[in-house]
Amino acid sequence: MTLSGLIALIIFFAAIFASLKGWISQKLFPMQVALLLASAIIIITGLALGEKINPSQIITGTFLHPITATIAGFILAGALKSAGAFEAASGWIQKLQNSFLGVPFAVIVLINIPTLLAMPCGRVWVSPLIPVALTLGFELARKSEDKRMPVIIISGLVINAAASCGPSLIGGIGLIGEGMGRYPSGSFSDHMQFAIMFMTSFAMILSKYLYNETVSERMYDLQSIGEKQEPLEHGAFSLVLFISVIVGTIIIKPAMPVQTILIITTFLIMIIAGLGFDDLVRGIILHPLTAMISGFIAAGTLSMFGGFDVLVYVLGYISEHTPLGYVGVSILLVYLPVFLPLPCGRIIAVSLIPGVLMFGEHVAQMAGSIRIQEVMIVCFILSGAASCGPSPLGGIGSIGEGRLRLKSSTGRFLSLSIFMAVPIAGFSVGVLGLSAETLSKGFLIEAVITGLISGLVTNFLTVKKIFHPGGLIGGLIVSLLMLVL
Amino acid sequence: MKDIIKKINAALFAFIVFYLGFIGFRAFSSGYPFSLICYNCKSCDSVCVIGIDPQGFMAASIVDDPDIYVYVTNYRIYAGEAEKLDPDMIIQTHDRKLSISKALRDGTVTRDSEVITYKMKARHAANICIECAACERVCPVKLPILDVVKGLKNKESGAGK
Amino acid sequence: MSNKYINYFFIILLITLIIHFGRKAYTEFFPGEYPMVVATAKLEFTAGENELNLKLSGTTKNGNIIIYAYGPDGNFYGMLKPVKDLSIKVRKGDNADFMVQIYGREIGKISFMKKMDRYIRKVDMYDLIIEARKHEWNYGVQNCLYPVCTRCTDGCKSVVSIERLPMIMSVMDNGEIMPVFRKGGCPRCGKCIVWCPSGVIQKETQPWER
Repeated sequence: MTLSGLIALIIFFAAIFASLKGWISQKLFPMQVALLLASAIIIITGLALGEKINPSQIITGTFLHPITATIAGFILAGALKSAGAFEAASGWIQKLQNSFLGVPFAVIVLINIPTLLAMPCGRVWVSPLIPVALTLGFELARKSEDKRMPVIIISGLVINAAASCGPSLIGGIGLIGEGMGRYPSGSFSDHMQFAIMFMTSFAMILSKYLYNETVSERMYDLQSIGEKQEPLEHGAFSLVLFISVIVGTIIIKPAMPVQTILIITTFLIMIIAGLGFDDLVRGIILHPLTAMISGFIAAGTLSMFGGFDVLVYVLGYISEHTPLGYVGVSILLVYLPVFLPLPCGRIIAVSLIPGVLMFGEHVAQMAGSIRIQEVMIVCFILSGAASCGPSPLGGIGSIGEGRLRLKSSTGRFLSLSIFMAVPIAGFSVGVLGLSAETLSKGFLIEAVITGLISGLVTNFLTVKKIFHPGGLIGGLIVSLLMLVL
Repeated sequence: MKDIIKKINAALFAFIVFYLGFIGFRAFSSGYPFSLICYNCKSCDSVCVIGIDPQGFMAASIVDDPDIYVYVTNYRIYAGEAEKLDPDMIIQTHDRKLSISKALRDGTVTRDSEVITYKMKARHAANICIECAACERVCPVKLPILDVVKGLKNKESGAGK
Repeated sequence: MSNKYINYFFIILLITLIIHFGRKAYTEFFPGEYPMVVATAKLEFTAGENELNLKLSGTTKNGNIIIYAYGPDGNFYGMLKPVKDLSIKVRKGDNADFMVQIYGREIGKISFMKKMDRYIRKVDMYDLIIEARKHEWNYGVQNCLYPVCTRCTDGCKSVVSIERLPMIMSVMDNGEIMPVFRKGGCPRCGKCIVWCPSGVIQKETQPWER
């Protein structure tokens, strides 16, 4: 443990908490600026303490993958919007609503798409799906006269997308845990996917009963204006193209980055729908991008001075010298990404996995079961992956809040839904164990239970009836597909 | 006063955008622009018996600096050799992680002791890589990691030293 | 959705499937020579107090060698060790890096014993070698870095599409795992020679010098 590491950790925590609590006025210094200034203070302190500084080491703390995935997602969303794909999707959802499966089916499928077709970054799905979810939410709000509906659906979608980078088999955070912990590739995926379905249900329930703010009337007016637009000629085709490309990517797993695939799809849509570059730029929102980069810079600085090592040391000290012990601190460690929600779970995952493995080993020895370590690492990864949902530093939740023009943060109940769902993943690992082969009886039973419970919750929240074929069939389809894909 | 703060904010936001562009530029100037593609998924990490984290090689290419520290968690090396390579190399001994120079100074190890590494400079990691290509095989985007390793092997110390 | 869009969808699906299944195996062919598998250098063991000294008769290409010993479960335990002045030291507390299940001459599941900075299972190689010597189980060193490296068989698979590959891995009588070469079907592409990092596979006429 070094003094510079300890000071860096204190400054980093202070900057985040001061921004979150409003002690640093967001009007004067936005979160991005606060983080950059904190990084500068850390560097100056380090220099004063005689530490060697290598700027390159700070830059290596910046993970480009989520940044480029976000940009690619935004660009594609811009193209889809201009081509009229969202109007086409709304049309389809309208038709689906009128079928016997009804609204619950449309809702459960839509909000679980990010985890079903898990991308390496949830932002890839959030950008194009939010407009569709908004349409559905406003439509439902009008029908059910419950103005919380848009918030409920967006919350479900946001937390589902945020956590979806955990189980993604094409470069998700789960692979970091599997790689560093040397577990079979893909063995974390199904446990996390089912827990995310629960997490989504929890987020929807909590947003209905705990979140008080409703969407302003102005948004309803805006949405009505949007609805009057005529569906564009190429909208449906663009949407089909987008979905088939994503499904193809998941099944084939081509040796090509998902960003490239998204950009090629964007170009195809541009050619088909005759779009210009202005149409693409329209989809880009700079706030989450700048927040993410500043978060990476701050975390890179912290990492260079050994701040994360100090954190592990402090946790070790607490476990040995307080009644919390290794078990108590392990629980704290698992939930640490939720207490410290950074714009991308990768930052904390990469920095703290060695610590989680160490604590896991201690607890496993105490409990006499090696599986405890597996439970801990899966829970930590899920908690880390989902933590970008409630993160105010450019997390996925801020995209949802921005689109709904909400004034208060949704972070609190999104965090609570993570708290509630993480033990489910742990329980699943504890009972079924880690294996790359998941087409077994145990997983099938888990899929059916998860699908049915999610279906029941969606039925209750959308049509106020627990038993409705739409939610139950939709839930079962989604969970069984998760098992196969 | 508010104008000054506005200017500071604008400058720092511009810095963030510039920073992203700078990373892209460095990656191209290193000659390995494909390193920008790396997913940081650590699939490669799990298959390296020496415990090298090949994502570190990609990071070294992105910043065009062979002196950044990368995880090498399971390479056995004589302490004397390790010190000669880099006195700041982090090693693991007796459940502790400390720099080799400190370990030698406080008598935890002697120069003839065999130690297990934890973190070392990317170019040193490239030199100990046995080029088995296990990392390339599991890479989801099939990055030519060995090309970077070969490049780093011959690289002189960069800005970090 | 009109039929037109359904048609578009199927056209895209068809193109994707054609691209996926139509990808041909890598068939680079450059005429060369038959590969030759070189046996591991001879070894002398000296057992000391908590330390084994191993002296090799020849050096290795990359300065590393695998030390192996068979356990009571019949599995192959190995560790990668640095070679200094033709000698290797195995000390008490040196744990195995990996384990390979062995069925006669066939190779089964391979598992690494370390995750990040801690061991999943500790198997002390010093104790194991002493046990192996006592019970006459196989132990020794191998130049070939299998299972750490499978470059020769990977290279072979990328060129040769027949089921019976000319280059396969097999367990020798002394327990060592080595590539075994059979001439039938070898296109003499030289890939295994170029790719082998340990110098175990060499050209017949121009072997790598020890």
